Amino acid sequence: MGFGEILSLSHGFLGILIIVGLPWALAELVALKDLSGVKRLKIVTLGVAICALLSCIILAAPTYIVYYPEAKAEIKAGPTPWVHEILMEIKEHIGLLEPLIMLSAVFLIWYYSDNLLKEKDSRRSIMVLLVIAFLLAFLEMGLGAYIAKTGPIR
Amino acid sequence: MTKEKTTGVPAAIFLALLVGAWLLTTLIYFSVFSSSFKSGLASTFGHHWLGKVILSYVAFAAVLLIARTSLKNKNVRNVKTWTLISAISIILIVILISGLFVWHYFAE
Repeated sequence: MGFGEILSLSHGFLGILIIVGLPWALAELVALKDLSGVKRLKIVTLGVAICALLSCIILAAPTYIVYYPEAKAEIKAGPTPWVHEILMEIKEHIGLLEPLIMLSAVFLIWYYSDNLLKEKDSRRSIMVLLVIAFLLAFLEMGLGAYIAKTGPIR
Repeated sequence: MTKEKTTGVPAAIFLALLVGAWLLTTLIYFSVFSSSFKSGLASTFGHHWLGKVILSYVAFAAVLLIARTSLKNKNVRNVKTWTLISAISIILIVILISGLFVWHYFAE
């Protein structure tokens, strides 16, 4: 297994953690009743935000810049060049929104902190951000899986 | 006892998110339509993608710090309005970016 493959797999694995972590955070937010719930919510969302930063930027950068060009050449020479021209171009750019949204959600949660228990509007606001982050992560994962199937990174 | 929060800090967070996301979209559009802009980003930051990441995240952090300081004790619209503007913006940005690359592929 090459280093590029390890990077690519780690990028995908962290993506799975984001997809698992976001419904968990949403469940914590919906069921928020006491201070221990606020603490769990802070930890889960912080964890997801770190995963998003690692997956979408720190690991994505070397994977995309150093190891992807070989797979890109393979995709473009094959029967489905649109997999790079459309799908990869969309993935490499909208993926950058994920950490921005997650960082915003974390900052809001840490700012409101215990006030989340009594402020319904703040909870709803954070919920909207988490749902958008989840849908984006889901889209990213689907695009990543299809691109990797067409032109795997080695 | 929890203290009542103003909407200044959440407004700063949403504003930073909006500036970061829209700047990223603008950079993407400029890169597609101007090859000299794209190569300028690449020569400055090592790669055009890195240039977009660095510029949009620096803008996010800068707006957050500046707006947080200036809006800290103020009430700037309600959180619902900021959430609505941000949600619509992100959906629109995803459509704009996806549409751009679909259009670009068929226009080439």
